Amino acid sequence: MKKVFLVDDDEIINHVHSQVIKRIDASVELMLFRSGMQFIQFVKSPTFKAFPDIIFLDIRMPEMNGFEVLEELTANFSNELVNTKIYVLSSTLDERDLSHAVSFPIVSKFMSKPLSFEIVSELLSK
Amino acid sequence: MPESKSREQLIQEYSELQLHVTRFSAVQQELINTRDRLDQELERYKRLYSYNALALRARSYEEFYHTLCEAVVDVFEVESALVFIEEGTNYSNQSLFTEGLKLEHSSSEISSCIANIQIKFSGKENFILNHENLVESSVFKLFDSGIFGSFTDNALPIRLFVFGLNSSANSKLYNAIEDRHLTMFSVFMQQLRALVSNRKKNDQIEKQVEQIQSSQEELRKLSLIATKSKSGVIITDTFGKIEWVNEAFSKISGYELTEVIGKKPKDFLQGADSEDEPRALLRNALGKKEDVEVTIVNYNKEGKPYYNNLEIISVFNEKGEHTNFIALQKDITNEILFKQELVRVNSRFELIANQSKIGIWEFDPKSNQVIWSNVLFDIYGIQGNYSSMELQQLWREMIVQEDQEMVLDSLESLTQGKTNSFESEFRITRKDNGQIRTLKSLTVAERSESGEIIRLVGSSQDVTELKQLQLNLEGAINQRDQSIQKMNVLKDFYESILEHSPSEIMVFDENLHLSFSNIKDSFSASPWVKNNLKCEEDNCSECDKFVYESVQEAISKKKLVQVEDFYLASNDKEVTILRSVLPYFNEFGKFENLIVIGIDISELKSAQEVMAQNNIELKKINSELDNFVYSISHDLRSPLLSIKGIISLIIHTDGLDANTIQLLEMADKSVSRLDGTIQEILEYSRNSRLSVSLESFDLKEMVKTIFDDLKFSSSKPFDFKIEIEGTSNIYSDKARVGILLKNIIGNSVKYRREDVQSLVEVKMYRVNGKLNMVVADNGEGIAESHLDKIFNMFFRGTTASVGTGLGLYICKEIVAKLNGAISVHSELGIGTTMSIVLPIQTPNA
Repeated sequence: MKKVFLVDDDEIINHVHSQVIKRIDASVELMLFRSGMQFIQFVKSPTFKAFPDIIFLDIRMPEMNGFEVLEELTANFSNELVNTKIYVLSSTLDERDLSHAVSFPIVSKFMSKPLSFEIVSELLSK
Repeated sequence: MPESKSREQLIQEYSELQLHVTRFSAVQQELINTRDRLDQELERYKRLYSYNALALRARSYEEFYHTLCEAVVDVFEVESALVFIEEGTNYSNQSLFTEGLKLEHSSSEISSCIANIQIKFSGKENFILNHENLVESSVFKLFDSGIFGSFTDNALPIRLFVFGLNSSANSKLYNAIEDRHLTMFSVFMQQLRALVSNRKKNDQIEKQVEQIQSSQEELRKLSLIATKSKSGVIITDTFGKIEWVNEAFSKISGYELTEVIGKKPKDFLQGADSEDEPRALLRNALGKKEDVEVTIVNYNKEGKPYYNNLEIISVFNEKGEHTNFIALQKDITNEILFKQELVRVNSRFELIANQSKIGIWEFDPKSNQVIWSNVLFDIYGIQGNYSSMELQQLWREMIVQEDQEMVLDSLESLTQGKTNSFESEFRITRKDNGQIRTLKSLTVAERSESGEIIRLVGSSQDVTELKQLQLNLEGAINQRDQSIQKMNVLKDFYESILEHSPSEIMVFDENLHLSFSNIKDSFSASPWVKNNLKCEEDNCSECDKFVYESVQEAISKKKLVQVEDFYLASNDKEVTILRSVLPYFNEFGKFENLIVIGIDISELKSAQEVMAQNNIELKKINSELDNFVYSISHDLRSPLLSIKGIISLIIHTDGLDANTIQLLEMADKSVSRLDGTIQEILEYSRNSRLSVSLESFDLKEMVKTIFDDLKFSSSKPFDFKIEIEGTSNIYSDKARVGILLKNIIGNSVKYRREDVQSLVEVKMYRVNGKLNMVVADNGEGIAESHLDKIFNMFFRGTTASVGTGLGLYICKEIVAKLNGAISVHSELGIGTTMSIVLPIQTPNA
């Protein structure tokens, strides 16, 4: 049973993405975060147990963007993230964002929104 | 008692006795008289004796003879006395001394009177003169009687005459002279003779002693000379055996006196190199006891030969017997060597004169004789024998007419004694070939002490070619001077240009001293012109260290160094001078000059600063604009992509009818097209706005990613091929190349044909310094009529096109931005090939 975190401030795309994932594999344990701040507070809380198999992370978010989240994770949870794939999702066309994202070692890949059925089934089958 | 005698006997005896008594009385009287006379004579003798003593003590002959005169008058009681002396071998010296006699006659008159008297009384030494004898002589005629004595001593030699004279008229002693006097006078004369003779002999002895003393002194001096003389002295006996040698001889020969005494000089002095001729001369002279002088090679004790100048003097004693040889010898080796050297030097000089073609001549004015050297004959081009007169005549004729006067005048002033030498240059016409030659000649007069010319000597050299060379050289020098003048004019010209140049120009010499500067306001260049380019102190108050450092760098690296020089001008304005420090090295690589050119770049500088400021602001604005564009595109796309996701969700919903699916797919396509348009607008905006930014990246990786992305978004499968020659790493604008390839490859994928297996090939190769990228497909192709329009803005080939008509336009713009080219080859229904050519750039260019 896979565990997936979705971090995105866009409610609609969050909904679309979770629908796609659920339709491909309904057993996936899915958690949604509406902002980077919320996500970091969650993983830093004492009750947090373990990181999921996959994290889909948006870049452009208010309060704390995706890069700041990646910096926090790199600084505090490098070891705990060994078995976690982090995919950075964005609708940006900015090359700089793309190369910035993949410059973090904990990031597996940069992907353009929206997640398609093909991609999700491939990621979940791994 | 005797026997008794007769009376007669007694009477007889008595008478005899009487007779005896008478006789005795007479005798007694006689005796008394005699005694008186004897007393008188004794008295005279006593006086004579005292005069004798006086005469002996006389200090001079004058005094002596005066004493004699006095003695004659006094002792013989005469009126006057005269002593006449003839001395010397021919009795030439006459002296006359008188007492009581007034002499009115010359000694020669007296001498002739004495001679007459002597003839009359020849044979008698002393005699009494009576009146008759005296009146015959004019000198003595006043006298009545006299006494005369004379003697001659040939050995001394002397002849002396003594007169004692009385006159009846004047003298009480008229009858004083009697026979008795004569005896005493004889004694006096004998004594006188002895006195004079002793005196004279004494004189002679004294003289001889003096002579001996002086000759001893002379001998001492002579022996000193002989001993100390620098010439060697040898004295031999008559057989040539050595009796004595001096120090100099020992010094020259090395032999001491003790070694050579009794030996003959030739036995140890002569050797192998002693020549026969001087030896024979010596032998001959010694045999004949003659004086001789020879020079002979002798050997010293060490066996070293020396030239000995030998002078031998034969010595004879007063009897004419040969007693000694005296040999004087001088070591004249140095003189001989010097002479030999002189001969050598002279012959060398002649050799040089001959070799250097210097003709020599000599003229003896007494004999009017001229001697020419062979070279001189060659110079004048004459041969054969000429007499001195002919040669002089010929010489005059050969001098070129115009030069004759000058040459003859110079000779004239030389012979007249106005000058001692003259140098001249004149032309001659050679006898043999008639060529005109120029001679340079020196004539010197050799004069005696009185200034008379002993001879004239001269040298002549043919300087025709030299003269020509000199002329050529002068021409060349002239030309050079003209060139220098021209160069100076040029230099002035360029310097005046430099003077008026707006640039500040300073030129320093090899020692970094300022040699030129056109700077009027020395303040601006003060760190440079203060002659302190060599100051390397960190905090020197007068100079700036950067000046030293830039100068050192320029010289050591042999390159142009530029530095900016700031200072505050008098109007408080900040001035910036850009100084180019250029070292100049000559063709041998030696540093010669340092040229410092200063340009006022203050305005440029401030403009640059404004521009830099503007640039920063522009960049800021650009960046803000970029961020704005990205944000806009992001915000535009986000809902669009949400819609796309939603459509995808709906399509994947089960139980949809075909019509609904078709409508949803149309909606998806429209969303995609809108998304494409947003992307293209963004790309166009960025390409036109942003400057090219170069970086290194892997082209193959980029192409692969593009294909991967296209695969995901594409519904139908296609094949692709990548062929890259050489390294796939290129240095270019990564973002632009990415957009370029994405558009072109995207087109190939987009416009596939349905009827064939689609294939997209990407090739990359480098040719002629250009990077070629070719993208070929087997897709729909482009109609020929469209080919020239496909790169236009908003051109769309068909209504079926999914694009906005911006894609290829952006490609063309990007290629232009990257200084490249793009071309297309396409056939409708077969495929399209797009070729891109980009310049190859390297990171350091």
